[in-house]
Amino acid sequence: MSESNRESESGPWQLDATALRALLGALDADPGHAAREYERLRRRLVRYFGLHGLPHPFDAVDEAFNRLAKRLGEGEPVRNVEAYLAGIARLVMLEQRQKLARERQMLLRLVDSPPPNEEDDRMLRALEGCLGELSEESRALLTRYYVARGMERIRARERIARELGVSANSLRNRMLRLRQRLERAVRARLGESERDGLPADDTLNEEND
Amino acid sequence: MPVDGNEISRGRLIGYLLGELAAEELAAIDERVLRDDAFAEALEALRTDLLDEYALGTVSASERERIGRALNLSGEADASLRFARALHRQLDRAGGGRQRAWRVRARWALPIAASVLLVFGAWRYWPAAHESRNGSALGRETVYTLLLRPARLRGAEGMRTVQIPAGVMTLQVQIELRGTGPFAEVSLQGPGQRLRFRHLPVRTFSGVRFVQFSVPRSALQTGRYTLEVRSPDATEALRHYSLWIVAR
Repeated sequence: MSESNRESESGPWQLDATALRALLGALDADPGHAAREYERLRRRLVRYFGLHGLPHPFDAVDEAFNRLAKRLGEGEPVRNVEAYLAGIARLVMLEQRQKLARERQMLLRLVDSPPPNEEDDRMLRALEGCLGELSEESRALLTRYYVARGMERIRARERIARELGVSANSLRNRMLRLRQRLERAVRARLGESERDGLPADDTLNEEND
Repeated sequence: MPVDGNEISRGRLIGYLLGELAAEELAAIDERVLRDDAFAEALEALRTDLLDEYALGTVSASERERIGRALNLSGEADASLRFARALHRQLDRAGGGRQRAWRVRARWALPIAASVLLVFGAWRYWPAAHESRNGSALGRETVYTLLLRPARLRGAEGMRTVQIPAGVMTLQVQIELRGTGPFAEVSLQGPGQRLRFRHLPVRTFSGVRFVQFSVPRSALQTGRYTLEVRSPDATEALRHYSLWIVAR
């Protein structure tokens, strides 16, 4: 009997204690280290799926870990967990993108119009409120970092990094995190679900900019 | 290893997100995203810049389509896209317009002063340094700009001829608006094709409101083109432009 037939008779596969033990054991022999490694991989998978534009990265992460745990629970030998997980993640990502494309096609048959302007106005108002929660310095930095275009953008960013005495990479990461927090805060104000952010609180705490 | 340091070009990132790279390279980048935080952050930042370029309409029509697919955008209503547009509108309001004023003056001075129908400026456009540094295939691109002003075009002026010079890679069209809405919609219908640009963000430079879009030279054929502009909120009256584009 094929695997799909077995699943259809007994319902979808669920993560059980044996599979979870196998998963954690593959990550590290020490349970504490294994838990930390699991969390580290989980964060990175969220980022991976966000990078590929999945609107619900956390669901995709659960699916990827479930598949890995299932294989391990079945006794499949995995020498390099990260590489194996990366392969699973790609498959999950492609499946989810195909599913999304189908859903969007169906939606397009029902609705073919741009969002109403009031939606954009709501977004602008929420953003204005959230920007108001930032310090003057952070607002100015965001403006300088993101408004320039083309070659001027590169030069402006290099200039800012020099002024702050940090590397271009450090500035880039700082601005990316600030922008992601800003987006999460705006989404939270609008009551929208998070799309591609890393797990974090919904406040605009600037301590780690 | 196909990926060196934290560097990956804009073009390769698009190729990666579209799954167009060789299988081994896709797998290597996938694995590195899960292993190397600095690399993953660099990709995230580059993706954000791509989203901004898409949101601001600063890419050609063909590239826009590829970027939209690469970013897996759900359309103009995509939440990330709406956020990017809103952010840039707020930041522009906060001072970006002033920083770019000199470029705006350069772009608009000639058409305003001469008050002519069409002004064609071809200039060399260098893509962002990180692209050329990484050997992007884009290289130098000659952009030919067509500025359309409502005061002279509204009514029965008839068809205007636009001759695109040899060597031009991209036709960039800027349309001055009179309405007050934040977005406009443009459709360009020509020989055997119809291009539609929905939800183009309205830009304001030196008091002039306009929308902008680009069409690759390879997508244009000599013939009659009809260009329609409207705003979804009806603050911009529907306008038509008739152009005879010579694209030899």
